[in-house]
Amino acid sequence: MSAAQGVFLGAFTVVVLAVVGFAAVVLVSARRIDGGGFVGVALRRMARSRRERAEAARWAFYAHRISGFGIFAFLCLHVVDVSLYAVSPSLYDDVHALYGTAPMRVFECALLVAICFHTLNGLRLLAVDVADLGLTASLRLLGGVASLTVVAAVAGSAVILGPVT
Amino acid sequence: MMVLDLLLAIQREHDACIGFRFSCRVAMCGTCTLRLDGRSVLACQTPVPQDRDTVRLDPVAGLPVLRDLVVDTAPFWREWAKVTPYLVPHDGLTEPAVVTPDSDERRLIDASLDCIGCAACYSSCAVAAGSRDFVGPAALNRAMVLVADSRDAAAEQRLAVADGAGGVDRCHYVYGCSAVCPKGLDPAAAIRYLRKSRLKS
Ligand code: SF4
Ligand code: FES
Repeated sequence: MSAAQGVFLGAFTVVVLAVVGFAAVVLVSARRIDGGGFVGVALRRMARSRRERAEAARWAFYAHRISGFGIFAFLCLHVVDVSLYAVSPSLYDDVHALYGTAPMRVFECALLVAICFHTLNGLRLLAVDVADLGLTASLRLLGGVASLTVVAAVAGSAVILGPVT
Repeated sequence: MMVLDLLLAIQREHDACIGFRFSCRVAMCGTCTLRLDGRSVLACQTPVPQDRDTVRLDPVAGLPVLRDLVVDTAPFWREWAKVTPYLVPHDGLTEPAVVTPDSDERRLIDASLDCIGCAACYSSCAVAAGSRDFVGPAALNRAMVLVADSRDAAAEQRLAVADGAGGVDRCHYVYGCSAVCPKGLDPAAAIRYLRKSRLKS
C-alpha cells in the first residue's frame, strides 16, 4: 500500500467513525424522545393500528438525518480525493485504485442505499408540501420510497459488486 | 381500566408518593398526558393494554421532569404565547361578523378548534421534544386557526412567527402530532396550511 493510499484510508476511517458516532447520537436521543424508541417497540406499535404507523415516518426522519450526514461526510472526503487529479494524475489513479477493492465496493453499496433513500425521501417531503398530503398519503409515499430504495439498491449493488464476485 | 385508574391504584396500594397530574377525567383539562410504551396519551382516556403483564410509563417528552410523571409545562406555554393565541379583532367593527356554517373558512377552523393544550403532540414531535428550537405543533395549530379567521387582524405577526427561525420550516413531517392528538386534530395539516399562507402573503 502506498503512502497516499494510507492517508486516504485514515481519512476514510475518520469519516466512517463520524457517521457511526452521529448515528449513535440520533438513536440515543430517539430513545429519550419517544419513550424507548427501540426498534422492537416501534414495530409492535406499528402493527397495532393505522395511526400508529406514523411511527414509520419518525424512523424515516432518523434515517434521513443519518443518511444525510453520511453522504455529506463522505462528499467532503470525495471532493478532496477527486481534486488530487489537479495535483497529479498518477496520484489520483493510485488513490482511486482503492475504490475497486472488495471492501470499498461494499461501502459503495451502503452509500448507494443512503443516496437513494435520502433523495427519494426528500422528494417525498417536497410532495407532502406541494400536494398537501396528509398522514395516510404520506405513509403510502414512504412505502414507495422504501420499495424504490430496495430495488435501486439491489440493482446498483449487482453492478457495483459484479467485478469482484 | 384506564391508565389513570392504574396510577390511582398504585398510589392507593403501593406508593402514596408517586407523582402524576389529572383533573377532569374526561379529556378536557389536558393535564394527565404521559407516555404509555412510548406513545403520548391522556391517562384518563387510555385503557391499560390487556395483552401483556408489564407496561412502561414515562413523563411527557421534551419538557423538564419535576417529579415522576409530572413535568414543567412552562416551555410548552411559552411557545404557545409566541403566536398570540387569542383573537385580535379589526378596529372599528360595529356589526357582528358573519361566518356561515358551510363556508370554507368555518370548515377549516372547526376541525382544528378543540385543542386542550395537553402537549401530547409536542411530546410526540421528534423536533419539539428533541429540544430543538421549535414553536411546536399545538401553537402552530392555534396560529392556523386564527390566521384563517377573517375576523382576526393579527395574521401578519403570527405568520412572522411561523416563518421565523423556530417556525414551520422546522417541521419534518414526522406526523407524531397528528397520530397522537387525543382530540383528533391534525396539527400537521395546520403546518402545511401555514407554509402555503406564508408563500401567499
Ligand atoms: S393539538 Fe391535540 S395533542 Fe396537541 S396540545 Fe392540542 S389537543 Fe393536545
Ligand atoms: S384528567 Fe383531564 S384530560 Fe385527563
